[in-house]
Amino acid sequence: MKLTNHIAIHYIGVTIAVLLMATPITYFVLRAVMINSIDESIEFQREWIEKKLGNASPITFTSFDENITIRPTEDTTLYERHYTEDIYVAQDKEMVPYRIMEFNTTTNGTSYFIRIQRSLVENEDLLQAILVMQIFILILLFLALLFINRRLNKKIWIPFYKTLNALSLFRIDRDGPLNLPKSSITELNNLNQSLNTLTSHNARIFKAQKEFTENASHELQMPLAIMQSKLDLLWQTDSLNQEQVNLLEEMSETSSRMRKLNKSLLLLAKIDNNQFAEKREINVPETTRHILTQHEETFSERNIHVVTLQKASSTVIADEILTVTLITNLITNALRYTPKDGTLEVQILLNAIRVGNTAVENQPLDRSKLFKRFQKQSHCNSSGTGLGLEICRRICELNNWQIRYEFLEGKHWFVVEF
Amino acid sequence: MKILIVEDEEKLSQSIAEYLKHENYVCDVAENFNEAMYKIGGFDYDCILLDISLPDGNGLNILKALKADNKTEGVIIISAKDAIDDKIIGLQLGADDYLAKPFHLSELSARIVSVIRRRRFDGNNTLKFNEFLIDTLAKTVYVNGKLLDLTKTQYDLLLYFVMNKNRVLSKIAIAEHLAGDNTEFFDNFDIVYAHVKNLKKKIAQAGGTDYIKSIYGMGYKFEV
Repeated sequence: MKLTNHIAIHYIGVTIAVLLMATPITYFVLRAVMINSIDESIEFQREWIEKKLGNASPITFTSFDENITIRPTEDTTLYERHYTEDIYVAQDKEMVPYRIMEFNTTTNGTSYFIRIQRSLVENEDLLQAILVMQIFILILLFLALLFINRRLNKKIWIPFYKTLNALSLFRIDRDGPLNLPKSSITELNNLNQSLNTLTSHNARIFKAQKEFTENASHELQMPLAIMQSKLDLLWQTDSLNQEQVNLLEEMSETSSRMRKLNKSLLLLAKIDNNQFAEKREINVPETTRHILTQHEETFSERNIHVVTLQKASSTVIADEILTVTLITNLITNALRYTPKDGTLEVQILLNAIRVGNTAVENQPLDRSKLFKRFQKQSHCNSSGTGLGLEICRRICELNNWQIRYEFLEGKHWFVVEF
Repeated sequence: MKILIVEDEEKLSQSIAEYLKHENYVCDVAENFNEAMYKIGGFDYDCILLDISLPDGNGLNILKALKADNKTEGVIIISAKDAIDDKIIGLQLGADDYLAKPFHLSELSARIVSVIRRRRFDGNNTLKFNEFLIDTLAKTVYVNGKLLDLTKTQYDLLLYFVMNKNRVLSKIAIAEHLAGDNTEFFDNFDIVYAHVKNLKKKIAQAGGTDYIKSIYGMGYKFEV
């Protein structure tokens, strides 16, 4: 539920409750006040009747006013009673409430029972009018609330929703800091300013982090270059014995692995830093054929049967280096894990490329470890960098392509949908 | 032949100079921009190895100055940046080759041979020694006048050996040379053994001498 409606419902609820309570209270209070005032007026009449009764016949009072009843009584005890009663009025053919006062009085030795009644009908009408007014005010309040809600929606909530929308679409790896506008509403302004500060701070940290990876990789190139050159010189020294050569071989392999790792990290950092923005049309089948040609001798050496299937001639618009890297990675990755005499299959479909290879063990790869940095399958002890598929994933992500793994009939398949 | 190494990292320039000395090159080292400009102005070189990021200037400006003076030196850019833009700009400015650090000294040496050959023997694309004749344009090899039927990899391998005569080449250096740009995903060094074996077989079949010697089973040397 929207906050604005939430607030409105609370407002309306409280308003209704207050009015529901206030209406009967108002009714009873007003009624009491009215009855009190009528009682007072009757009291005046009583005093007047009592004063005049000494030198006038009771008939003088009752003949002009049917609301007054005076009759002699034997009862001399002083007695006074106020009450309200519905009396049938023949003239209007309805029951009408009356306020009644009955009392005894003694004048010139004669006791009278006097009853004065006063119609409450006008007063009841007034009360009803007040109630109607209250309901009218209630409806007016409802309308006013709706109106205020609408206005608030425009004034506060629309800018608020804009902020919310900007925040939900915010990706630190893609956007710079959020530049939310200033607002005349303090809370919203504070929110926007805080978010601006937060995102610009995070963007700065993220940028520094990204740059760090790239800078670190660059800085590592020099020591690696020096180490490599010294190893190359060591190979040239005379009278190396077998033991030394074995050590040298292992060092060279490790150095090679380090260089590859660093190169892959640098490539990832460059992808992350969007340094491959140059897009052009690339012919996928042609590129794939070219890459396969480069490995022809490895295929024949390991007796790997290569099956290519081209169902369509597809082209993609992307960075050439990255696309070539992607396809090369898929193929060399498949090649790396194809057993001797196995099959490597490349299928080029209209909007996809599928690269498959015979599985060494007839079971799917651990999916949780695929496409993750430095995660290698448990059974594999290859000297790969553990970054190959991660690079593929990042390239696909950059181009909005889908990459997935399938295991079909004893073959591992990597599928990229362009 | 004289080579100028423009490189601010002394340890690396030392290694390069040491390696190239054995190839009978005379090496000069310039550690910064000004020294490099001074040496280029005063001497003639056959090839200049140029680092782009120097402490007191951009190596590309040295390249520009060279081209402005119509100097004929071959230039190989050696950069730690491995940025595509640098490579393109460098080659556009007239550099002959681009090699990203880190590299194998044997790879650098092979590139230097190519650059100098291209500059020196303009129009002559053949490389000759003993019974071998290599046509670098047609990418064909003749032994005693007989055409050797080599695959592309075998040709690359032979050329690499010839350009690094009498040097020990580790399997890794060879594998990385053959893989070219795909090095980072190429981790099967055993393939080198198979390639060398096939190459040796073909040379032997053509009646050529077996110059390729195995070094402790870990590397090879083309001994002439």
